[in-house]
Amino acid sequence: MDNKLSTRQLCFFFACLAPSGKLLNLPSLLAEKAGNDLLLCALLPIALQFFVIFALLSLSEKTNETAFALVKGAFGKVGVILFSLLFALYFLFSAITPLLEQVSFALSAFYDSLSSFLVFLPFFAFSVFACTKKVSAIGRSADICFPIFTLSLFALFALAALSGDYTALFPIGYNSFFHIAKGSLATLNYFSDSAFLLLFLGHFEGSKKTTRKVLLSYAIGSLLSLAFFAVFYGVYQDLAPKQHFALVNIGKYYKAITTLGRVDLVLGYTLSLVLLFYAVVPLQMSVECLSQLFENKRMVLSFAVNGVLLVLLYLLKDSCDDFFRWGSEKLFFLFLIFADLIPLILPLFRRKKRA
Amino acid sequence: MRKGKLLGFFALFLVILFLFFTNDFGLVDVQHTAIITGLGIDSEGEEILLTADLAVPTSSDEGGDTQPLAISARAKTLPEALEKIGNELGWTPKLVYCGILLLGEEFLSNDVFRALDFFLRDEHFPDNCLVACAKGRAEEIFAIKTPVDNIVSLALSKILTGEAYGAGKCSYMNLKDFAAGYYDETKSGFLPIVKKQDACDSTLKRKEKDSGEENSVFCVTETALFFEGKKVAELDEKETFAVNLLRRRVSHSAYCLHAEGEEYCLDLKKKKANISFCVKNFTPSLTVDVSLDAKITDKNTPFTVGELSTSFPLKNAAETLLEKELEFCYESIFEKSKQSGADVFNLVDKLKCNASKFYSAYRQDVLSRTQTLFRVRVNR
Repeated sequence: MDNKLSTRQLCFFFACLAPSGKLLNLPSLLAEKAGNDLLLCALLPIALQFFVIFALLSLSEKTNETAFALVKGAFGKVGVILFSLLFALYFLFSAITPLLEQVSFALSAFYDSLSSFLVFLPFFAFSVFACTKKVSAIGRSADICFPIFTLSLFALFALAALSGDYTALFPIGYNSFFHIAKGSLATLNYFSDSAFLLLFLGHFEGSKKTTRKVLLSYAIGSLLSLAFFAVFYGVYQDLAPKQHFALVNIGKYYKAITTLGRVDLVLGYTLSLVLLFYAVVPLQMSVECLSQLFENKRMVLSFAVNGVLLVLLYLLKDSCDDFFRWGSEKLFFLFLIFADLIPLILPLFRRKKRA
Repeated sequence: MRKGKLLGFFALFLVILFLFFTNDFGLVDVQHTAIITGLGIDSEGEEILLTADLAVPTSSDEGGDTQPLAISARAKTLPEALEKIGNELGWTPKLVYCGILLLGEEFLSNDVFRALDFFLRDEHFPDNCLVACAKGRAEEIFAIKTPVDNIVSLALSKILTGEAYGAGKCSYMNLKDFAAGYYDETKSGFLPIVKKQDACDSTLKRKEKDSGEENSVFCVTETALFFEGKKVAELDEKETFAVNLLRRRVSHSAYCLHAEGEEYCLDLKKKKANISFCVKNFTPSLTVDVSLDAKITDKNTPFTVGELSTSFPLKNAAETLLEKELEFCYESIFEKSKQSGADVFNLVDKLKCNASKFYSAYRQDVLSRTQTLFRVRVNR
């Protein structure tokens, strides 16, 4: 069972770890793009991801090979080098947005005064450590995060649900389909979890039972995200596009908060711990890809990937919004290719090998 | 053993990370802190006059009691004025405990969100902070000595959320809801008006005499209506009560009425209030149904035995008069809404939700197109 993920861990990953990345800035971004139709705007990429995850799980039922082995079988050594390199760069790029969000969240929500970027450095100590571990470590992260995520999110729902006016979500479909689809494309970077499953291939036992369980977990995770978006929009209505960091903002209108103080922040802090585990996953994946090219050099690769990201974050920290817009509006096709298109055509590589 | 050690280190690392991100290392020196409990904003030509109502914590060696203090600073923008307050006093102004934003009368003649937007963006400013507007200058309200609380902003918070709130006599608005109204399709909102009122009660007068200081209380029973961030109309006491019956639960409220040559004091309880909106034959129509339970608490002539045995039921004339009076209030509110553009009944939102195909055609003039029907039923 070395370097293997259990079905339970895979389920926890899709039900808890993956939705956590959608709770910070995505709700306000969806509200900005689609107004009261934010749920429809999120449903389109969720449906696409569901289909891609189903395709990958179906592939896992037929083969125990990893994605790298499949590509090597089809295109040889050069193919796998190119595949690993491109995916390493993709994961490194996809790690920037969640981390920039985390930096700006930590600096503005947790500190009264303007804080130095240095306060975020401990994250990289954790990240370097996590990146030296193999894929199975992500499963353990999912195990750790499951109770924290579940308890905190449901407590947050309990605080926030009654403060919302859900009539604000109506009329459903008020915005044109073109408008909603444009919003879906611009938020595609938040719905790219299938790319992780692509690299999990070969690290778990595929079966029909596993497929059913993982798909159900993804559906549960997606429903939790959608419920969170609905509560967020119910609470803020037309103000929603202006409210970043939904995590620490939706619970503060609970009636007892004025007496108890900001107890909702404790839940925000615990959920931000889960966010850290999620934010490190693309980096772990990037190192995993590079370790296909440089075997037994995980420690060096971990330092290199985290070093590059640290420099990038430092350079981009003052232009977060510009980067978000550029990344999501201009480069959405990257997420479409790497998280949807390549996973969908991967089964074809297997057929080519047989032939 | 090695695995256990590693796990231990990892757990310790997580704890430190948690403390680090929650700013537990950023200790605040209480001697250099001033807690802002309320802010007043006035217009002074191009500039803004910001008045901070402060609670200054003092150590037990210095007397131990929290001292009230109102400080003003003039600047082009709010953050600049806040910084000035901090610089001049050597304190770090903390906005996290700010309970009320009071807007001066002159400030309301232009879009108030030219300044309020700053509070929406500030992560440490509580969006559930109360917002009210002052009759006169906010600075003057904060300078008042009131027997309700030695800190004026706390006194105002008490009044706006206390008995008058439960009885539906004062409007209640927080920053988030006020901003939501401004940014939504209606572009409308309302705020309670805070008026200084001389204390007439003998106890207060006696206190004044003893201390040599003038004591005042506040009247918050009127409401200001806003459209596109500007104050455009006012609702009087009865209209404020009528509109609050639609907005929230009113479990008990004293209401005075003059009928058949007698003065009645009624106890009203809201049973239900329905607002329905639809477009029929290309004509938008609004129907407001309010149902109330009413009992006579007292009148200025003695009760007969018969009246007593029926738990002070409302007489027909008083009942009809109450219904007519409230219906008239709703008509008057709608007229003010039509004249000013302030969408008190949220018709634009209702048009979007209930009759979206007419939305683009009617959104501009839905208030003038709408036919209204106000029905108030009083149950004995």
